[in-house]
Amino acid sequence: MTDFERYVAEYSPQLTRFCMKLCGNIHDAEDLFQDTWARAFDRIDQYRPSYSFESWLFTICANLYKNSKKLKYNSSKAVFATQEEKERFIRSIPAEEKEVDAYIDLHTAMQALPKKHRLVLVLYYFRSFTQQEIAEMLGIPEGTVKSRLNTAKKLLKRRLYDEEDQR
Amino acid sequence: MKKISDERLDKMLADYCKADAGQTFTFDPEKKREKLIPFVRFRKQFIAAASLVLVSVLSLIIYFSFGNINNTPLTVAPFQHKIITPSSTEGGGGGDPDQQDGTAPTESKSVLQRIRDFFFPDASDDTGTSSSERGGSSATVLPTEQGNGAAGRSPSRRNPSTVPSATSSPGAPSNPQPEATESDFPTPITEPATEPDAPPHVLPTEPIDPPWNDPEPTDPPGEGDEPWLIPPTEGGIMVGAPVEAYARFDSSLMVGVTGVYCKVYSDDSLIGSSDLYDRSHCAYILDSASGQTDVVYETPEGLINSVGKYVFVFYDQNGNELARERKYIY
Repeated sequence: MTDFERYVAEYSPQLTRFCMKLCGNIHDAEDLFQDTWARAFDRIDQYRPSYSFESWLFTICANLYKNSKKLKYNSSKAVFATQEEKERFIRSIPAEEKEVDAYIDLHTAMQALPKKHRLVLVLYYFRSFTQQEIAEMLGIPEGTVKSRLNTAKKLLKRRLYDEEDQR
Repeated sequence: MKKISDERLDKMLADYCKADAGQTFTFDPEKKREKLIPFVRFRKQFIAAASLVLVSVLSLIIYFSFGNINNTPLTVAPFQHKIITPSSTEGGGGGDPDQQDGTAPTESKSVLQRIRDFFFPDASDDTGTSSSERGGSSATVLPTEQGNGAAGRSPSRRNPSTVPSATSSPGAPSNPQPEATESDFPTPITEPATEPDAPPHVLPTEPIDPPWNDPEPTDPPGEGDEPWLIPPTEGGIMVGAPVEAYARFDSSLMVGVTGVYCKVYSDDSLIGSSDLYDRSHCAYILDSASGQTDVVYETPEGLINSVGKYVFVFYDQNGNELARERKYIY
């Protein structure tokens, strides 16, 4: 087994979850997953072992997502493509049954966020990257990361408040 | 209805991002390649089709833009008959100012007009006729036909089949040429002229040279005056035979006149007798009605024995010039 195959075997589960959180649906997530590994394979010679492979891989994935066109990796307007996908999502939520609806609303609100805000939000909460690390990964100032993070939260809160109000 | 606090939102986001559905994708390089290949094929086909269309459109544009310059039969045919120029001597200054609009028959047409001419040649001819009737067709302007400055009349637009030769009389207002003044005649040369504005013209077989075809003399007569010679007139007179010269002048000049005489000049020199009262110099009064007097003079046989230009000057008995007539004898 080559080093790259070992990396694929080790980091595919985490990359899958990351892609699912970014794209919101399984089809776009799988496209992003394949594209990320293909890009990593092409540029594996640029990887420096002194650097975390996970961070390097997630940086590739984040930049692919950020630099993609608007509808790429975001093609589905449905919250869940299938009922099975919805049930799988509900089972994965570490919450009580009465809070499931709130998480479904959160999932819906996340899909409605602009790409740049969703990306910062997922990087911050998914892997607990600091704002400085996110700024280095995306090549943007740290203040921009902070601003996007606050904007994303405001948008989410407004969306969730509206949805609760509608219920 | 309640607002979500920041702490609750942070907790929900953390739980949401840590949620693991237990699903893992498998990296498959072949799968990615399969997705790329159809796109590449489609892209190549699209580029090929777009290139083909572009080349076709450019070819059409170039063809219709420069086809006339290259004398391709397609576009030359409608214009060829319009640029035929008569090889006569009637060119000169003056002419109809309406036709001196600076346009040339070979002026290039727009691409759209060429395309229209190509697909609708009949419509193009109709359009050309109607436009010329409005007086603005560039195809009807023939640079070598622009006017007869001496006569001051409008040049007639002729069908190429009726273009007169150099033997036609330039100064014959009493026998004007039939003029196609209103429209082009875009039919081929061999096609009979059926348009009412372009009747067939019969070439003159005899010299049409009436005695009153020249303007009145304006300069006072004098012995030392050298007769001004005009370009040769059409029509022929047998060398050596008697020549009749007609002239018309105002009858007021005939007050007190008892006899009219004529002298003949060849180039600058007087020929024949220098005696004014020589009987051979007697002219005859033909008519003096309507304020005009017509006279005729017949030269003695053998007086004019060479080809050339001759001037006939009519005098009264006191030597005052009454009129003069110019002839080209050949």
